[in-house]
Amino acid sequence: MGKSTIMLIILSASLVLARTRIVIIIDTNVEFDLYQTIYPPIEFPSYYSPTQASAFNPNGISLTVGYQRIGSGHDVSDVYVATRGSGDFSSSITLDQLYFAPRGEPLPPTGVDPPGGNWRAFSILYQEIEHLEVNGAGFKKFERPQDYIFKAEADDESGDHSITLYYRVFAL
Amino acid sequence: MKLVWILLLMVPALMLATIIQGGPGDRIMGFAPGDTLVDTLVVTVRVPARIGLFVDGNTEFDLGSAAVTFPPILFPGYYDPTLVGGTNSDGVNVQVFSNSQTMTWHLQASGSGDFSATIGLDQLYYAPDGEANPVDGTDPPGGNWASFTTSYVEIANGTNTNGWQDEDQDYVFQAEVDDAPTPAIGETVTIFYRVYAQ
Repeated sequence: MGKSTIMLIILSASLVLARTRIVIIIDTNVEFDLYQTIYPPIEFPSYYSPTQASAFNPNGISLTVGYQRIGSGHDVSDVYVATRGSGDFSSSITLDQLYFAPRGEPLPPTGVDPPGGNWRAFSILYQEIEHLEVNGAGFKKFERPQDYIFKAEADDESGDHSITLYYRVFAL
Repeated sequence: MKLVWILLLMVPALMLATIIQGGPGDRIMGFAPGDTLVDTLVVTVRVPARIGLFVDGNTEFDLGSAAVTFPPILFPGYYDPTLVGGTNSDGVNVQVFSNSQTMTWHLQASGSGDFSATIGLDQLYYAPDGEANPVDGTDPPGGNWASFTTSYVEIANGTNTNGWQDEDQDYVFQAEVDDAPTPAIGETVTIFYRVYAQ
């Protein structure tokens, strides 16, 4: 019993003391209010930036990811950041009409489909945004603001439609 | 012994994956390996119910043009436009937009009045793009040709247009025997198109 106790104490201590703290912060919800824009566009598809977004990133959100190694003897080496959407906005407005890219990506020209550049359409499956190597001591913070665009298509029905976006962080 | 049991309970708990969720403004924290952080935000798209109308452009019938035979052998004679503003060489480009799922849109047209004392507004005819020209000597022109009036007349209607829907219109001018010569700059009317939904 004595040996087992010591082993369990060592195992538990190693897990408690040699862990990696992970953090994620998103600052705001996002809205594309086409009432505030020129709609309908002259040509479809047409791309719109958010009308309501982050105070720090007017074209999307502020996304912050961080980690901190606590203790020694770590076996966590990588932090993974991924995103997905909950589903379609409506029967005629699909989830893949919402695109994301790292902050600063230019708005695609009207009539171009797909938008090109670094724009990626959301899907219901997680897509990796970032893969961070874990190293060093102290808290490491990574600002990864994300821009969004909405692709208006000819068959989009009128109305207010919402979805949920998920950002997932884990480390291995 | 008590400590052993506590530790026995702790180890699986530490090893099992935990999902920690939050929303905008939350600082979500956890420990790896084991924890998965999931942060969420809501994206809302507000698409207004809109109707739209595009018309291009001005149209001219120059019967004095070298390319036109005037007078015709038989009256009334029918003439295509000699000058158009858009891409429809026989008339005007018209496009309608409606994304309403419930309302019906109506496209209507009218004219401002007669060209002159002898050339009536009803000598100008319109039809959907592609309509064959009337045969000289026939009056009225038949087919889908309809004459303009000062009252709005419905041209087309429908529900959701699925984008900008082409409703291009061809024009013909019906030359009659009593048409008096016009000034060199011609006689002009204004054609109105309107769209509404209800």
